Amino acid sequence: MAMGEMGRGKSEAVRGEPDVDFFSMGGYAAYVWPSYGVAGVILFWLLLASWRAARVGEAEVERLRALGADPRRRAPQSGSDGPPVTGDQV
Amino acid sequence: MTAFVGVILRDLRLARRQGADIAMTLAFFLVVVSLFPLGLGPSPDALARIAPAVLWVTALLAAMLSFDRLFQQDADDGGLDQLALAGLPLALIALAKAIAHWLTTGLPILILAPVMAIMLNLQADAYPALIAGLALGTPVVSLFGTVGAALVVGARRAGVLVALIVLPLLIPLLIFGVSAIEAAGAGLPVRSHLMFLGAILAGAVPLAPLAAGAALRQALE
Amino acid sequence: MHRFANPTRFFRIANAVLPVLALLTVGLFGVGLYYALFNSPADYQQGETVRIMYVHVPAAWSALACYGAMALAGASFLIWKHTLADLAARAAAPIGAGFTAIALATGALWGQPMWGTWWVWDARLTSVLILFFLYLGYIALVNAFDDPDRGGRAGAVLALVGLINLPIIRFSVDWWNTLHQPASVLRMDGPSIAPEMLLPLLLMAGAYFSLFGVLMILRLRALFAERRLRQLRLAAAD
Repeated sequence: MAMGEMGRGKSEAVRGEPDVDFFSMGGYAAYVWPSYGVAGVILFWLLLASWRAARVGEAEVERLRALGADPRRRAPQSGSDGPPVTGDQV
Repeated sequence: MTAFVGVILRDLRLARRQGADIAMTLAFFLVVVSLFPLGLGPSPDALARIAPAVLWVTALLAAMLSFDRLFQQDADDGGLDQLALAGLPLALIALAKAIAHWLTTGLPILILAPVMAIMLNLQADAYPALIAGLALGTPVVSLFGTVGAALVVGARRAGVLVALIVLPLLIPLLIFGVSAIEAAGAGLPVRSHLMFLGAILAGAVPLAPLAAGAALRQALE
Repeated sequence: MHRFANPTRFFRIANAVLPVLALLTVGLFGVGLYYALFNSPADYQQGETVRIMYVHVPAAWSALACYGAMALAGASFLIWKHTLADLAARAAAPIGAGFTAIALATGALWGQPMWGTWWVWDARLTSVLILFFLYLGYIALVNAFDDPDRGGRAGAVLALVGLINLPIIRFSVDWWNTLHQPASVLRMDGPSIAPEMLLPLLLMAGAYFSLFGVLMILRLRALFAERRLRQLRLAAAD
């Protein structure tokens, strides 16, 4: 199955023809479309989840800052670690 | 050198005092292996077919049981810091721990495995491959497990976490160990599979303690 | 608070770059998918299933690159203790896991019609599966500690230990007789793949990498916000 031996396949000959061969993918539709589907779903989900996490997190930070909780507005503290708390989810 | 041996002996003494631990590991091995004929029914062919995999997987899982506590106590009571200050490199401490773990877990499993294999109807000509494979494989489990144990010092759910981290790394070991037994059963040469196991062991002996040492350094910081 | 001085500058740059990267991603996916699905030939042996390559191979490349980035970020954290490095490693992990999952799933979907089996325990597939588990193990490990810095350091060590898997994945198809085919693009004597197939492949690879950039920036913002929240809550508790 050397990748070097590529040839001109069916899609050349049927490029003029509309959707039949495209959707059936030469009979391999059950494999090709789910592949693109799985990739699309996972990538979209990553994108949505990341964007939401960024938006929600930053909104919350702004909310707390507006409430005056920002330590940078207080007297400067020594830069030490806080006491350990429950870990955050990544 | 004496400090090194000292660590091993201390762990062994602890294990003997808490003899229940070794017994528990063996009991786990025994019970889980027994589940398969009980669940599968007594059909000898089916059992013989799965015997290599069952023996190896159960051996791996049984070895996992004691990793979460491997360093925890020493980290808590300052014993690790003392050893490090005494000049013993963390990597050597890890190696000593791995040896002690193998003596208290891997070795007993290695001895019990042929007995278990009888229960699973393993073919007669596969026994040497079983023993040789486990002899090469269980030290690797102890070594990799030490790395995992060092990583999870102070973590929540350390037991499950160690298994989650270490078991995937042991997949190649499992594959070669099982194929060695299956090859022996089919009358095919076993040498190449055992050589791969040996190669993994040869790589693990110098590298795993180094990795565990690095993990311990982060744990002590 | 000097630990966080750099991040402000970093995020200013990142937020400026983000829309550009997003546009680039959309564009590359658009053109790449067009070429992949419409404007490239079927393989004379594999038929139309070769189109799976255009989502499978870039995912695998991205999964490997992502792990390298994660290990590099982890190493930086161990050496320089800069929080952003820890956040970068944490940000990369789920992205890499996603790419690996895509590679595994599309690989199985490609393998079934081509090899007649969904899975085989050869060196390449096994080591990629281990890569997937390494990502999961990393995510579990960094989140298992009360002190996030301790978690970050433990995760960094794990990431570096797992780095040995990368050359195994890359060269497994050369060292062993595997069912998975050998490298045909990144080879010493140049790609052995036809140019009509190389183009969509590279376009899709560009799209994946560009998306990786977008995802990294978003996740870094999310993780940084989380750390700030933790700090703010700690400070408020005083």
